[in-house]
Amino acid sequence: MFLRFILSALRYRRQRLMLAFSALTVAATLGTVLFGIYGSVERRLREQFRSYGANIAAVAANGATVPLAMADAARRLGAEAAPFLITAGRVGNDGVPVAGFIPADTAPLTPYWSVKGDRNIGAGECLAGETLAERLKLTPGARVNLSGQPCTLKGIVSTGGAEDSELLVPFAAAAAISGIHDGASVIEFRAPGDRVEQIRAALASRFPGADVRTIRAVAATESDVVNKIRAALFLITVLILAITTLCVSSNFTEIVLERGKEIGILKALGAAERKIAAFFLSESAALALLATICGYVIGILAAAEIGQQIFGVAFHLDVSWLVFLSVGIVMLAVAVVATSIAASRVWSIDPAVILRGE
Amino acid sequence: MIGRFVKDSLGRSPRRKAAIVAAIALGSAVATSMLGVQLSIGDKINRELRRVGANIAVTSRASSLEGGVGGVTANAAGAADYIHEADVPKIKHIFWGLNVTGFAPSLAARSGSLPVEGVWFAHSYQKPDGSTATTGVRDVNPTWLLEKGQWAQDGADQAMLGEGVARRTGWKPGDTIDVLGSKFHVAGILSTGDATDDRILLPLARVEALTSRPGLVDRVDVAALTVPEDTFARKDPRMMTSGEFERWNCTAYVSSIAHQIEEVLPGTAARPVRRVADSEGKILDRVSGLMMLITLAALISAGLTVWSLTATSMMERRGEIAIMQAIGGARWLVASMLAFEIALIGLVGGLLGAVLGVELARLVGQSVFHDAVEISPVLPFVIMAAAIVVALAGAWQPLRRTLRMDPAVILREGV
Repeated sequence: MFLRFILSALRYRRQRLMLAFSALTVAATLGTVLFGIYGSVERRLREQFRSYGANIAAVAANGATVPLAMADAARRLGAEAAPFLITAGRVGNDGVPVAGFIPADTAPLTPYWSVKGDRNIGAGECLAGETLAERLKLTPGARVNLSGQPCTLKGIVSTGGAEDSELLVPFAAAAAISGIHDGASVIEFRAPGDRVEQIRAALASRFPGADVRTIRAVAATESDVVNKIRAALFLITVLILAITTLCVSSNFTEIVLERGKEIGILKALGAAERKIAAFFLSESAALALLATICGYVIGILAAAEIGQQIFGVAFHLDVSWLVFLSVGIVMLAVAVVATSIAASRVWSIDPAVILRGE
Repeated sequence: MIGRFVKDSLGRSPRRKAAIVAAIALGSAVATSMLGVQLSIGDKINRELRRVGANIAVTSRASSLEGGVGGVTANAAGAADYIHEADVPKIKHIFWGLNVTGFAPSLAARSGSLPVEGVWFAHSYQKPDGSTATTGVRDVNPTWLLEKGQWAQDGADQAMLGEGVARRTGWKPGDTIDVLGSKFHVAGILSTGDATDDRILLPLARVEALTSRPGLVDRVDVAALTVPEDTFARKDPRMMTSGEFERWNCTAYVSSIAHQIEEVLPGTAARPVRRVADSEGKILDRVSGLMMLITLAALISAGLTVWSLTATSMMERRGEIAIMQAIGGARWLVASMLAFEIALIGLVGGLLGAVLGVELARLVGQSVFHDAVEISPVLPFVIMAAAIVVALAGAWQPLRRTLRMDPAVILREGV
């Protein structure tokens, strides 16, 4: 009887319910996508900030070098580390600044290097900064007669920074030229944006001989921008969800109100108030649940597509079951509240009045 | 007749109508504020990202080379050619001069083992329009943290110490120190995390005088608002056709701004600082994509609300429509009466919403960016028109169906 009531109610008012259902589905989709975006936007944005490179740098406080053990310590703390060894060399009669680096460690910290050629150099190979290459008339493939450590030029680097005037060689080659072993001039670190201070402090206390600094320009800008965007998104998401909730609740209210006559008949026939309420509530709940499921599925597909469009390859917004749960709970709550309010409004009217036609 | 109908109809169930007006107002308000914020958020984030420091470094072509990594250790110290300090404000004369938010000329020197740099702290200069403004390292590097003391003055014998220098020497604000053979008063200590931590900053004019290089600087850091670079931006300007060059030059790419700076300061090399310029473009792209998407969501949600409310209200009035038809109202007349009423409701709702939305956008701008959001004066009108159109569209389908049905059937079924 209960099921038949609901099924036939669905059949008789297909058109009306389709309208409500599609509105609810769109609302649920919006909810899913918005929750998904809000939940993952901070992490995704912080990933984008990785392209600014290091946010912590360590230089020697007193001695000439920073211990290489610091790089390992930082990696254990969850940061990326790249040691550099700056020294001076000679190419022919010209004195050139030489920087030793470890290509595999440096790559994630310097995605902004624009390299003509190959930046992954091995022993006996090197890169030249743009201005240095211009000055010494070097082209990729050329043999660079670096005193003590001759190398083949694999590429030209352009960064707009100090690298432009340097000869970049493998770390071991720079160590051999300078005679410094087990030490670096500078170690750069990239710590997760929200743990910069924590990791800096940990490194500073373990290595008192090094001067560990937060690169304020990068760290402060990242936290500023991420916080602002999160705040803006929060406000906007709340606004959109509020208006969507309004739309959803008005749909449920209408569904009940337009059936005032039915309620009047049921009441005149002597049905218990609780039973009638249960009919309407379960109908609304079924509609809400169905719309949530549809909206969730569409939302996942939409979120994946959107994620790709905005944040690029191999990315998906995290739309977890938690999102489904929150959207479902909100939908159900709105359905129950709106339906109850509307039903109680109809209920308070004498059935005779409703049946006569207001 | 239409006027009387609408007046009657509005008077009959004012609460219902008010609810619809309120819903339309809310929908339009969300749409207005989102569009308002969306249009200016890119600019706001661009300015936030500008805080990371200069994105163009100008050096004299012949400057000597010194080692370093990124911004961490020493930069080029001038050896041969210099840039004339008096020419530096010409940077504001380029086509994209308004996009240049700040510039900081500097002159490097050494005092014993300590690197010293002469800079503008907050120096005044003349803008192309004749007015004066101030700029300098404080302007270009807003993230530099003043750890102790206060900022030095450009005209005085005052010095700022990098944190590393202060720690190694034990100097503190208020001390008088000997730099480049002259006495300076320590004004404050800076924490930056970059090479400045190991430097002493002095007023540019004093360094010029003490190192006998009057009116000369060896580097200018420029901060400019730019648009993200695409593949076209990376093309070599020398290989472009004149049409392409024009388009490139008239787009605020970091490379075209750098090119224009080289033109007004001959003999210099202006280079984009890739670390800053590239990252900035990427983040700006993402953020504007995100905002576009959220705006779309807001518009869908607002449209949906207006649509479904007018649709339901039309359905409720089937009985009324049937009666009008039954007593001889022509379809077009009934339809136009109802359409007029809905348009009126849409107009009132849209107007309220537009006003509310402008306030809302201002609120978001204030609370998030502590800055006003500029809203195009056309936007409220567009929103009002959109509110009317969406309301009419929502009513269209149910109205047409009702008008096609036999009024007798509707009336017998009851309302």
